[in-house]
Amino acid sequence: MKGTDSLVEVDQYLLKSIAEELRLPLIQISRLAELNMQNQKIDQTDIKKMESSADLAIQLLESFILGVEYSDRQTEIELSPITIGAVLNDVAHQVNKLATANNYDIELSVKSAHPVMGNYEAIKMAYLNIAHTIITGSSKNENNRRSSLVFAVYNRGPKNMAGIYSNNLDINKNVWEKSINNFEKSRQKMPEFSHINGSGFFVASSILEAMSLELGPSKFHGNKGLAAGFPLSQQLQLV
Amino acid sequence: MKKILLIEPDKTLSIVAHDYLQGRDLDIQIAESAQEAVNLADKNEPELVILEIQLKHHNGIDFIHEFRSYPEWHKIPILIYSMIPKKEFPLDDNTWRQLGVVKYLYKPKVKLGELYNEINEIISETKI
Repeated sequence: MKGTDSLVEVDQYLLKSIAEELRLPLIQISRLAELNMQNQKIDQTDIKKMESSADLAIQLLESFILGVEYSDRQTEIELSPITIGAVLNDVAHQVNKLATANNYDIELSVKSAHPVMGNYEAIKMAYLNIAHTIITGSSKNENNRRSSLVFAVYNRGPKNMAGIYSNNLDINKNVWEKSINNFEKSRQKMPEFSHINGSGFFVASSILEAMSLELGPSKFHGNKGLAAGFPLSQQLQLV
Repeated sequence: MKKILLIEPDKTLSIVAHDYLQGRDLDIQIAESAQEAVNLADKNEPELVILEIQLKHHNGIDFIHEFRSYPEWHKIPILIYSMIPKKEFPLDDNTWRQLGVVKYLYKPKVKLGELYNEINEIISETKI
């Protein structure tokens, strides 16, 4: 990905160390919130929101750090046979509370159980970022209108496609390519979002790219989203 | 009450962890540095050590070697709760075990509730 590549090349060490440094105050906020959730005299709604915001930020920073380490080959990516449906299932479970709080209903559609080669934790982190970005980016999801967040895995030719889709997301090839090409120039990377810049998508893309996987716009049952294709291994299917 | 020595250089995190765990029937002693930890261990004889491996003026691995050099502390289990991921250390599981590290938890991903569960698991497994 052209935009993120140059970003990583120029400032990667400085940005990585800033990201590492920023984790500490965020962890302090998250753990303080966790402690205060034991105190019934404090409004739990506000505390939960505070914890959730801090946790999302920690997640984004962790993913960014991982993406930089992978891109720079500082960390070797250990690949093993995984089922991509299991990863998405895990992600869907993890974002369930946040999704519900933002009026999203989660749907799982896992049509393939073929094993692929990948790094479970890294792929999970990438998809967590996509899910978080869709959920928090589209918080214009107001008036209590329910939206869907679909986690889908299906076969397309020699690949296992795995994506996250929503009826509340308007992303297509043009928007995606424009966002990547304008990555360094534009403050608002994703025109779809008004109050966040959609960095989670690009962090996810850089993690997947380090595993030679390409994240891109995709459609599933009328919903739009982002997906990557995982090559099916014939050898693994024999196991 | 099980006596636990928490070695945590960040004041906010140490106070928060102390208050959370102390409220769950654990006796938590806090040390902000390796030297303070050795002094406290000498005085209080902890049954479990929780260690942030990134310490002021000290490398946590050096601290473990020093800690293990005292025969009376050979068997005290160590739980690492750190900002540094385990993968950054070129040590295999066997070496961690030899150092008496029974668990390695990555702080950004492990909340206090999970830390408490892990402590309980260690307490029941090692019967300390």
